[in-house]
Amino acid sequence: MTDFTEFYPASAPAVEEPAGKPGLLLRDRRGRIRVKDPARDRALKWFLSLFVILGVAALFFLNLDWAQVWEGVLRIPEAIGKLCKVDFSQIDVTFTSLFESIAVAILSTVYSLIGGMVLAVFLAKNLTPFKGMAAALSAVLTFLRAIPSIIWVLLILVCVGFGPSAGIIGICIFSTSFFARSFAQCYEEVPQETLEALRAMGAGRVKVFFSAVLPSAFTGMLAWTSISFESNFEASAVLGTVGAGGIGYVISNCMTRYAYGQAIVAIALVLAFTYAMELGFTAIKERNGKIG
Amino acid sequence: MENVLELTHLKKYYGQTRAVEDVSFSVKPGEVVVIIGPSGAGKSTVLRCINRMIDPTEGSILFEGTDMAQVRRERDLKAIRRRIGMIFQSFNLVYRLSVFQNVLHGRLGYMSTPSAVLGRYSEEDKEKALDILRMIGLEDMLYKKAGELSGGQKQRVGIARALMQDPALLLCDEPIASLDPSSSKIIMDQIRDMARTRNIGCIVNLHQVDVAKTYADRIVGIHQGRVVFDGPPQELTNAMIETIYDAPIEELTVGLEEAANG
Amino acid sequence: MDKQQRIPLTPKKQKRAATLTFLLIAALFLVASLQTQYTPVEFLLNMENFWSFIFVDLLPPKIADWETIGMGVLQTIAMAMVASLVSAVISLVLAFLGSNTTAPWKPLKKIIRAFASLQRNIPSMIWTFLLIMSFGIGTVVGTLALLITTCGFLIRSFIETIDEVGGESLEALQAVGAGRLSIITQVILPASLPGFLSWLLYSLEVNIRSSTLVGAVGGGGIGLIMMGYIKQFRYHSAMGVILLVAVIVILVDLLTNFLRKKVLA
Repeated sequence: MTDFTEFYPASAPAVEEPAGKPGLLLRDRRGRIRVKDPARDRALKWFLSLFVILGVAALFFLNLDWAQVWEGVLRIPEAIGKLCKVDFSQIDVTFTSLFESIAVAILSTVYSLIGGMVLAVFLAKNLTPFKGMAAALSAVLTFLRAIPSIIWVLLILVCVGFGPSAGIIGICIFSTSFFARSFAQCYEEVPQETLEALRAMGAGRVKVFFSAVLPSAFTGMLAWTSISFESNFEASAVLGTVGAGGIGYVISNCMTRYAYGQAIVAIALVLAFTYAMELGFTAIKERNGKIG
Repeated sequence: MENVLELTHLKKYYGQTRAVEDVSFSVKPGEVVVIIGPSGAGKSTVLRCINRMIDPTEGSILFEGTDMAQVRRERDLKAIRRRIGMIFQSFNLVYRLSVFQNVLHGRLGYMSTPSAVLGRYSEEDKEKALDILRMIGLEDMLYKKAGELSGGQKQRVGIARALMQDPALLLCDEPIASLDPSSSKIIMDQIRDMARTRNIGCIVNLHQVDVAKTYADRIVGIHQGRVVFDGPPQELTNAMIETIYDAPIEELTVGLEEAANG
Repeated sequence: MDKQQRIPLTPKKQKRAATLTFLLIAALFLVASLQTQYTPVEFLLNMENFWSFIFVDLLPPKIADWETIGMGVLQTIAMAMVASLVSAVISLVLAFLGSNTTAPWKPLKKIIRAFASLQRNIPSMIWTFLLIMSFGIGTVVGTLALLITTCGFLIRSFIETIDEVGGESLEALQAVGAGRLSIITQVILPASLPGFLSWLLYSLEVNIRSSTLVGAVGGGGIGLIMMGYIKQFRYHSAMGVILLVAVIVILVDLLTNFLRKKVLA
């Protein structure tokens, strides 16, 4: 085989591009021509191998009891059989709890929507009256968001006792922080020139906010609201499992009583509602897209 | 000279819609045949029927003695496809991969399954790719990612990939539609030169009549799925162009002059 | 000013949509308030209780037993890592079988897609309950629950990525006469790799959060420890754990953001 590196620069035509440099061609250890520059994907390779190594190490660290896993797998058909004995005897309680869960999701979304809308004004770089405050607020909100809403519910539960209040307040803490950040992003997308023009006309901050910022951020805010409502419902549906009310309580209660047939009815209801909700939001988004 | 491709009475219907009504023409080795026609006339469908990216409804596609329309087995189809190079309007490269890798993709049809899956190209193929890249003026870009190139350079990679297949026939689907005039000229020059020097039959879909006139050995005009003109460029009259495009000639040539001459 | 002369600031349609949305939300809000009998007034009146709870019962946080908690943290992170990695591998295969561009067998594609979209509506905590039925309490259940939810989510995102990058370059390689398998390894896989990794990082973020929750209902790790403290009324220790969770979550988010910028750019 001809050694390409030797005659490569000499034979390159000088028609359109300057002739290639001799060192251009990369070869591997066995002298074969490389088809890609290994340096370009090095970071990616490092990351991938590190991830795999850490993942495997984690698997060993967990030290899963494979015998237990296998026994569990063998017990799956039995579990499915138990779940299949559908039992509608508690259907009224189940429905009431589902409505409670939905109500908790609605209320926490509405309250945190209002709270988030206000906080976002102080958070958005183009609207905030005090720059330092925006940074401090952002740090606090990041902290609030880092803790899952269920844990907040757990804490509030201790404070206010059993009932929907704990769920609403707990979810609100997380959700307000979520809304504040995403709405602030929406506000920041409003062009600075528009705001300046309005301010120059003598419009006050409040007026500018309601007449310019809010209308132009509306579509984005709607999208965030639907996302947040979905996750709030998920949280309110499972918060019963840690001791608060709602459909989650029915599920965990049935499970501990071994009333699997009743549990599966409740789970199916949750599924049906989330699915219907998803369909509804998709329909709204499509219609909104046509209007916008 | 023997025809490399012969289309006879090609038809393609999508249910009731008739994309291609009746198309017959032939291509000789080394000949550049340009298909012109308004968008929606079925140019693109004809091209994709030839290498069976689309299955034709009726008609025969005689390529190097085999009727493409009759090929049923997937393996036979692949074996024929590797002799037909294709160049696309939107380049259709893998932008994350290097220019070199994209060019070598042209050999995948010839390789055994294991080495194709692992991307183990032979040294012979690599040097062949280098030769082609050098000829096409992209040897400096060898290890660049295809996504980092300009539009014209991307299309040259597309040409190089097609040439790697050692094609007997080159199908070019609107190769310059997404390019600026000066890159368009380079691309069209290269396509014509490759066809001549390597004796490759070449079919180019274009919507710019003046470019077609400059580069074509023969022009085929398609209107509503039918061939309405087939002859050398000098026989293409303005009246004929108006029939093909269903529009007055002034609307068709504005701003396209420099693409062919500049 | 006459009403007809007023120039509308926003398009009429948009205004009507906004009004409708507002009315709908208000109605839902009223119904929900009636149903739960919840008013913020009640909470505001009890503010005193609330603050005393935070400052007397919760703060200052305390880390009671470094060794147990350290183990719990490691377990939680390990659960998230394993779930992300294993489900990435499974999802990779299933996504290629389920994508429109690469699926070899239509019925299988439909099954995979149905599974993935069903997953979207089942929270991981519900999976934990179902899995406890056959696997008992412990990290096995936690890992499996995370694994199942992550699989559903990753299959969906991977399929989307493949369908996005496929298309055109796929057509080119088919025209070259390349086989299906070589198209997957030479074209689709390299082109979708950054997309895959970005989703993988996201799944890690999500899993770090939910592995705490899954743990709380019986999946082991730091979540189970925290739940134990709360049940024993050891709120200072519980708060310590919660703060630790927050720190871990924030650190992981920072890390994944950094990796996204550095590696996937």
